[in-house]
Amino acid sequence: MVSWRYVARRVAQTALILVGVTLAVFWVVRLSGDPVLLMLPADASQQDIQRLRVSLGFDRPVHVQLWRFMERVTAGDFGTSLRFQEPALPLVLERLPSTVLLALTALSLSTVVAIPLGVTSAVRRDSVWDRAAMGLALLGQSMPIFCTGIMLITVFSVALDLFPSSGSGTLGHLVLPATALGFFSIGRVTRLVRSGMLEVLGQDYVRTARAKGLAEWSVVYRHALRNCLLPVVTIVGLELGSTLGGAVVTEMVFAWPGVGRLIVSAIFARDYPLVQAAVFVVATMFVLVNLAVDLLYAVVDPRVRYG
Amino acid sequence: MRSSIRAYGMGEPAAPGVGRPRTPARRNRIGRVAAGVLLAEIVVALLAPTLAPHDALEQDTTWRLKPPLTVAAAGRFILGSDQLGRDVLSRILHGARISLLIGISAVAIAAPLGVAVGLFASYHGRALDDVVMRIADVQLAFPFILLAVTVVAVLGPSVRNLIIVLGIAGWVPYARLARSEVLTLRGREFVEAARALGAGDVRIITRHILPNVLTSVVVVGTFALANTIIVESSLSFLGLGVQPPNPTWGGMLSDGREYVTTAWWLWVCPGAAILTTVLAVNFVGDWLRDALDPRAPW
Repeated sequence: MVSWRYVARRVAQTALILVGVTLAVFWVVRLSGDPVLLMLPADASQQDIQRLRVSLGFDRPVHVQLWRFMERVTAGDFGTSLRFQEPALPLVLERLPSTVLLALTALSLSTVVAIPLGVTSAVRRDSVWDRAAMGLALLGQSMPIFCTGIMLITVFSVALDLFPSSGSGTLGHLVLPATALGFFSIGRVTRLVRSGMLEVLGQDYVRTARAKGLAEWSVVYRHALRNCLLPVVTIVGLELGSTLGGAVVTEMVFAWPGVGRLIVSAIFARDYPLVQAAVFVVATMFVLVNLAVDLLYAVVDPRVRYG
Repeated sequence: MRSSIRAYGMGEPAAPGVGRPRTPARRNRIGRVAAGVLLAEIVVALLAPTLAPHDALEQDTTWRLKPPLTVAAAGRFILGSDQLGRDVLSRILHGARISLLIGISAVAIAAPLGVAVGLFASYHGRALDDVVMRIADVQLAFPFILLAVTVVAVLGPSVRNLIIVLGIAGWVPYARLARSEVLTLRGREFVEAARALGAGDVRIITRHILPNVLTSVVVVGTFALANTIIVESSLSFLGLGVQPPNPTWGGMLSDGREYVTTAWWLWVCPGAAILTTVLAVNFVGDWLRDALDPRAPW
């Protein structure tokens, strides 16, 4: 039974966060003082500056600008990309599937590796396996994605010629970027599975299952693991945030045509309407995924009662 | 406290009554070694101008892309030279200055800022607390790297701006930590007792609650330092961090990318420098967590 009050509260909270996200996106280009100077090359003439200022509405009072901005954003209009001379939002949405594919593959990969790793190190606590798994986890967390990426390229595309080092299109193109991106979150997910398992393995029902004479693998995987998977799902949802951030770097290393690469190239081109649209889309996606995870959690686990 | 660390995926919940107590001896050893490595690095970074065998910026195109241990007229290139004939070792040493300076300064801004905000907001009732936590939610909606990339691009990439941006953007974990501690401690007897004896809010927060937060702050701060170093090097890698010709580890790796096959030392050396540093910081973090927070038996 889902508490509708909880759902309503969580949805309202999300709406509030999205308003905040919009405000932040509005505000960020104004941080430097004059957004128009930011968008033009340093040698732009006074006339160019004035023209762009008027055409983007930066000559109006800030509260008018904010109102206009909010109005347009609700209509899905982030203005025109200065570089492509096209509406900014569709440009971003066009590249969104690539980034989503990359992020989801990376997350699935790290979850698939992290669960057996975490389970093993919990079951054989303090053993060599445990230490090796924890060592690997720490290594993953300590290695910047671009390091992992370049290493993977050197080994698997330059030396062994197994996978292409850049671009997209085939499944083979996805392997290295997804591995580089996923390696970073393996550590955190492994630790979480391990601690969740340690907690669950001490519970009475696990002892009961053992006392019944069940096989150890059945106790571990059917009784214990199932019960600690829920928090893992939540953390994997939260991991999406850092995975999307990591995707920015990954896409640059592997020339993956996603939103992250679009953002960086837009920044270099001083194409701030495009930057705003892209940053807004990424943040919104993350917020909505977290909402979905929370709501699912409440549906799946009836014990969850939120105040 | 535990729940808030856990929210960042850094820690793990306690395992009540499970397993035997961990013998901390091995961890202590690794932690000490890591702390030693880190200290040595800080010393090396401070002394970089004296220790570096060459000028980190000096170019000499006759000595381009020389492998490690090449002997040149100007001396030995212990870690080789880069595409402009600059000494890799000297650049690594100077890069350590930038990475550690930015990392440590950013944490030194973020931790007090976050703790102060968390303590005061949560101590002064629901309204302020709600506002602060919603601001935190909004900030967390932006992936940290993305936030840093965007703000640094707008403000302009300089060491000072990087420190400010990474410092201010890092306040959330500390605020949540301080907040959860206030919420658990506010009703405890020793706080009530202090109040009964006439202590004011400021005194209660600073003298009675703050000390309870500090150990956790040190642990969170250590892991945050590791993360900040990664983010800083990522920004430099993207070309949005400290600008060339200044030597940064991320920037060196980015340059070295084009020579993956021909000059391995150009990316292996800065890569190893980043990995060693971040790994050392993370080990120290694990060690501190064990040592300072014995309630957490992970």
